[in-house]
Amino acid sequence: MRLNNEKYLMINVKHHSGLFAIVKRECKILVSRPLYLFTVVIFPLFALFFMTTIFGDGMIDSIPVGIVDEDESEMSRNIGRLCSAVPEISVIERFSNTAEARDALLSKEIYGYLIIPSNFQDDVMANRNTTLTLCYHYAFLSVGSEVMQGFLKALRIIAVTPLKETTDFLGINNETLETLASPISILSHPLYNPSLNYSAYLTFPYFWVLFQILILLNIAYSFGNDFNDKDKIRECLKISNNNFINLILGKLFPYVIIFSIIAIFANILMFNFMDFNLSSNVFMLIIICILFIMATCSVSIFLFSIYPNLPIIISFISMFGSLGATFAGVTFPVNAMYPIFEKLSFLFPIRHFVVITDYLRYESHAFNFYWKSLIILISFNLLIIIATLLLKLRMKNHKHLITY
Amino acid sequence: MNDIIKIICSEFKAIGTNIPILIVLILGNVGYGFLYNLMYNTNVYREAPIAVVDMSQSDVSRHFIDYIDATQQVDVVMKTQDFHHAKQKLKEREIIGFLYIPSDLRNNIMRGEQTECTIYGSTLSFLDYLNISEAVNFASLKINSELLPEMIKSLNMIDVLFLANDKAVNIVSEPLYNSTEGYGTYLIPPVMVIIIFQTMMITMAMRIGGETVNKTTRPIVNKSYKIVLGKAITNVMIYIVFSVFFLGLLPLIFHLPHLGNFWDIAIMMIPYLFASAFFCMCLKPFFTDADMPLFLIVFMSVPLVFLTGISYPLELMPWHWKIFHYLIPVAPATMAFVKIDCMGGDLSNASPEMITLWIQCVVYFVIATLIWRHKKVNEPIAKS
Repeated sequence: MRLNNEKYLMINVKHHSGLFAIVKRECKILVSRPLYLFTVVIFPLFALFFMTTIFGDGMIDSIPVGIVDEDESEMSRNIGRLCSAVPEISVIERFSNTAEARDALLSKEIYGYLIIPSNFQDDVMANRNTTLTLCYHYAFLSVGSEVMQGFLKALRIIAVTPLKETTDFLGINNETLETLASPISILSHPLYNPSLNYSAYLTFPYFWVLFQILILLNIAYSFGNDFNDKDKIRECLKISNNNFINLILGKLFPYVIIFSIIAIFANILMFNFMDFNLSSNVFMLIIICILFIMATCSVSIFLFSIYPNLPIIISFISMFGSLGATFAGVTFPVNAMYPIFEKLSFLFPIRHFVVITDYLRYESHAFNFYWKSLIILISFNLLIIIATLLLKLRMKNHKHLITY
Repeated sequence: MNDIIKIICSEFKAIGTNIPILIVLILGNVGYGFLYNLMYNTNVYREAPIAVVDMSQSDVSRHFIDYIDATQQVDVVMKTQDFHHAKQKLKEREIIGFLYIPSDLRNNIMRGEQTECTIYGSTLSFLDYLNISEAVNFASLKINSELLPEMIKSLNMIDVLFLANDKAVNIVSEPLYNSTEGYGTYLIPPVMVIIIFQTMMITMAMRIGGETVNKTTRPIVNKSYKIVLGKAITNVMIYIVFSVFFLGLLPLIFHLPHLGNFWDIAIMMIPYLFASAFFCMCLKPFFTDADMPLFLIVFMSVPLVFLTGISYPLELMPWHWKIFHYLIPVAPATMAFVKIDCMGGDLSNASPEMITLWIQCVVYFVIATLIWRHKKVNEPIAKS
């Protein structure tokens, strides 16, 4: 029976069969509708454009803030000047009472304000306890913490003003005063991203978060279109010589090539033109990116093979892809989540990809540290085998396969 | 009017009998809502593991380390005298940073000199860096005030010990609108508003795309504005229920900030839901089949979070992305919701966003009406 079948195929299909024919067919499909131009090429490039430009220069500085000056003294004006000198914040408004400042904060005109209480100067001169209150917007976490740090930087010198009054009197110079007030000074050394630049922090990982959503969807969509249509699957099997491996690899091939080209372009743009930090060789990074593309394709086929109903699995994959943004662990570390979510994150290729690329971007000779993640990333490709078996199994039972 | 009601009824019927749409509506909304809340339910990231390279091994350094360990931001998991060992642990990601205390700390204090201690903090997550930086700076303020009398002694001046009694100006910092100072309480409320937009887009797009492909039933109505209104009202009705779930129920269950007045939120949601529905109908030309819209919409989920201006200040974005903020209904709506519900403001505080949303409503309604009139010729004639 099998022999007859093969003979039949050989006569009818002639040269146009096997892996190459499937690749050719997939390429024809890709150019058949402008839609694919968007999903496969334009959207990823849009993601690249978005993530490389959205943060401006990447520095959160000159954030608008206000000062509630209830004292209106020379000292309070001096505080205003000190605050204006800090790059993180820019004093755009002075208020005479807290209610006005709060209203400006609610309307998002400012992101924080400093309250200088009435009689501030008198209290300081008379060596009485006095307090400066600094309020900042924490519903916007990243901006809020910058505002706080900016204010604290400006006010460091203010905190020792009473002491300064006396030391000036005693003829002790400012340097000695600084030493007296802070015998232990703290020098901050942010590793990997010395200027705490948001673009350097988020552009690379988030481009890949977006890209993996598109990869997952494209692959599932491509397989869904064929496997949900009786005639198309028959045609596919015929062209692939009834060989599922040919069929799956052939369909994947054009996608992997196109995505890899985009990955190469993205990496060169980010690391050669935008000058993001890169400790290792850009070629190594590109290889990891291609491995990640393959792993993501495998996950997509695997998910599809579990339940090959296009609309439903596409919805599920959308959710899986979006969760990648959280499980990548870039903004909120996964180990700070419940342990179950930390474990779940291992099922997402993006998690391992981020671990590996963090090492490649910032550490030299890092293979010793990331090899485990690399093995896991490569192992995702084994899912193709399971997917092949599952799809083959479903072929035998058409009821499950053909959902329309 | 009758025509609109006819459309609404047929829409409800179509949505109610379409399994994928129902799955997204019910499982998607409920699943997403709970999952996101659970993922960020730990809310605050505390006790981040750090090391201290203590070359001084003195009473002062031990005291300093105790102060650092006592903060809630970090947990000192390792004390060592080997800088490279700490560096190695950092590379292995077992710690998120370390503090280096030089060996001459004790002697410097005796001599009245300043000692520089260095924080080496990983910035792989900015929250990590924030934790170590806050903890060490806070502890240094504490230990510095304790060391003041000793430092003054080193001045070798008679009768200056009274300096130690000089009051310092206290600086109190008060984070507003996020009482727990948590990441979840910051991120989740806006994400809830975005999920409403996303799933509404997805279900509407699946319906519109499906309609184009499958020739589904729709009563014949000549005026396109009636079709647009009918479809929009249907989706708004459905999403009123989900809005109560996302913005009313979930904040209660997961203790999210919930300061807003019910009616203020309701008044804000009306233009938001209508603008979103009309906006989606304007995208009809792109919805060529039932699955395609998902690409566009799902893929936009992360960019939308940025465009709302919650995670990165709108003021610092390039102008072309600011325009997007005003074009997509979800961006001003999220900002308005945060102002009302997280910050306890009222509608007057959110007036720029409300005006934007109403303008979007009108503009997208007009565009949608034109688009649906234009496409009428190609549309499948459906049975009534």
